[in-house]
Amino acid sequence: MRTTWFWDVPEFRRGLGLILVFGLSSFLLLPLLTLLLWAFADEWRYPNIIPQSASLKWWEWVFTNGDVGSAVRYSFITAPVVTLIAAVICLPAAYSFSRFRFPGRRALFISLLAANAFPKIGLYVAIATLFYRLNLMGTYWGVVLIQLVGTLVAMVWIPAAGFDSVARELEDAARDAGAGPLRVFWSITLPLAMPAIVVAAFLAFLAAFDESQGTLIVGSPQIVTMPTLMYTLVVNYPEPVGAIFSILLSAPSVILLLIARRYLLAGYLAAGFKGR
Amino acid sequence: MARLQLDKLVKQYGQGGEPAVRELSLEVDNGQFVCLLGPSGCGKTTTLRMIGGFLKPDGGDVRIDGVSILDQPPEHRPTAMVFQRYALWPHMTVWSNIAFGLQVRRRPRDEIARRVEASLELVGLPGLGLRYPAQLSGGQQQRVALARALVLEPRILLLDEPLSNLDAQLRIHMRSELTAIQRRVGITTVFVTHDQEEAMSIADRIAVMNAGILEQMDTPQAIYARPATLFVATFIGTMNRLAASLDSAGWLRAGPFAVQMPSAGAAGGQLVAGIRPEDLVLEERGAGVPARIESDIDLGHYRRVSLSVEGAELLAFVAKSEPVPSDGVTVRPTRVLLYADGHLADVSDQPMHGTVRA
Repeated sequence: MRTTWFWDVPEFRRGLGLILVFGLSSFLLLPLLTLLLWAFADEWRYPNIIPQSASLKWWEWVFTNGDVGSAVRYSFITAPVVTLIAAVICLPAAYSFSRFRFPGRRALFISLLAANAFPKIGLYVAIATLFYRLNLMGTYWGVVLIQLVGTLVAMVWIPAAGFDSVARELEDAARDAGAGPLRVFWSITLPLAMPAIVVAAFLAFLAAFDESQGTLIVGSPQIVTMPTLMYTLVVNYPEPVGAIFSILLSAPSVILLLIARRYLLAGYLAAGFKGR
Repeated sequence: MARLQLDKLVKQYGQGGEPAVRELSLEVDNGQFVCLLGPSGCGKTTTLRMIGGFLKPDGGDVRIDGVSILDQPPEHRPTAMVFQRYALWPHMTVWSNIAFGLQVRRRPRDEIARRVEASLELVGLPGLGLRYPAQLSGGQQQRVALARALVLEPRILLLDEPLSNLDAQLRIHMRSELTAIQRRVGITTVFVTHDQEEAMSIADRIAVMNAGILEQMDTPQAIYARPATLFVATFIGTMNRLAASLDSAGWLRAGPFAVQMPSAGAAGGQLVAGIRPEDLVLEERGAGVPARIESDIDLGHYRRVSLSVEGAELLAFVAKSEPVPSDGVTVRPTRVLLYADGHLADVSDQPMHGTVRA
């Protein structure tokens, strides 16, 4: 006779699943809940579980503060430009890595990781000494360049995998139908690799948007973006300000995530032609 | 119209390896349906891709109506290809898939609409234009791929094992469908397959390839009746093979049989006799050689009989109407093909009554 394990009892099995889901979601959601509570708190001291009094006064403070307005503006004129430049530089590289076999291809592909292999702060300080000589310190383009560093890997590797997944036959068929190489790229290869490119662009945007170390070193005090302002706010102001600012900072990520979800679940992609 | 010539076509992959295609020359007449047939790796798809322009030959020439198309890229060649896995663009509707080539050529909008509808009609899929490829069955995708190729009115149609992804029943149905469409359009067609039955049933002429070499090119009937090489003999249909020798009196000794072959006198080298299973006659105590029946399998329309004749294993196909003797069976061949060093040297076509001795 076989021993009955607890695993064989459906109730236990379901219970275990429930515990795992609950544990994971509380791990992810509880800090966010705390953040939300702090954002609307006026006074919240130990040992109270919820704030003693609520208020919107810090929201008002954040939205009327001139530094915050300027930081939001800088964040939104750097991150999209960084994403665009990354796309212009990296997509042709991704296509080359995927489609052409050239000497040193593997080594180059791996070397893209180099920027991530060392402590970022050391790299940024080294770059900063270079930027001093080039008069890029405290300038808009200096910040754009330093933010670009962190986007390269995602913007090459993910689209390269996307181009890989476009079967050669599909391109051949378009050539056969009379399309030249450029037309084949625009009408066939690019649309089919688009989901990967969109994901990469989102990641690049978020990486640039959240970048703080390099921006702090290269940009401040002239250029202060939202993440670098965060340092000042957290140190110098009461907790609700930090909480409110964190919520503002995460808004773009949440919005992009929702857009990405809608885009990536589009019908034909789910049933698409898989390269073998 | 269009006549395709391949002239000493050579393709070699990598350095110093065996060539995939060696000096292949063949001609396809206008409107003809030719099958490139051979085992996988024989160079047939390589040849097709060289005609389509997707591979650059290392030597030789591809001509259409006497004019070389070798320096034209695929998009300028008057050829259209149907790919093995159809290669329909998954992000486009059936209509857009078919219209793409016409749009690239900047045809007027109403002409595109007319021609796309007409080609959907031709392949029997009217009204499916708005579907996506993933919403179609394998057979339907196959037809769309064919429509996409034909809508451009190419001079040469190239098909790369287009039926190999379909299940058996649909494959046979699509065969007749394909030949019917090809006849109606009257287009010069090259069809690649490794399925000899498929080639036999649809081709006007078959080009049998092996290891990059054209072994034989002829009508299906001629290839079956007189296979030019031992490879073709065994690849097309079934063939009993017996080691053979000739004596000075013009008798061919092939295993247990002796057959008069008066014109084979010059044949030298290694001799092999080939006998088709349907060319073996079973009789009760007849003029042939005594044989033992090892197995007798009824396949519905004929019987497959395994024989043991003086140590040699032979296979005979016997019509259902013919009785198989239960005792004292003798076997004799009615037709023997003689191969010298793998090449057809002689055929004994005359009835062989009295020419066989034990």
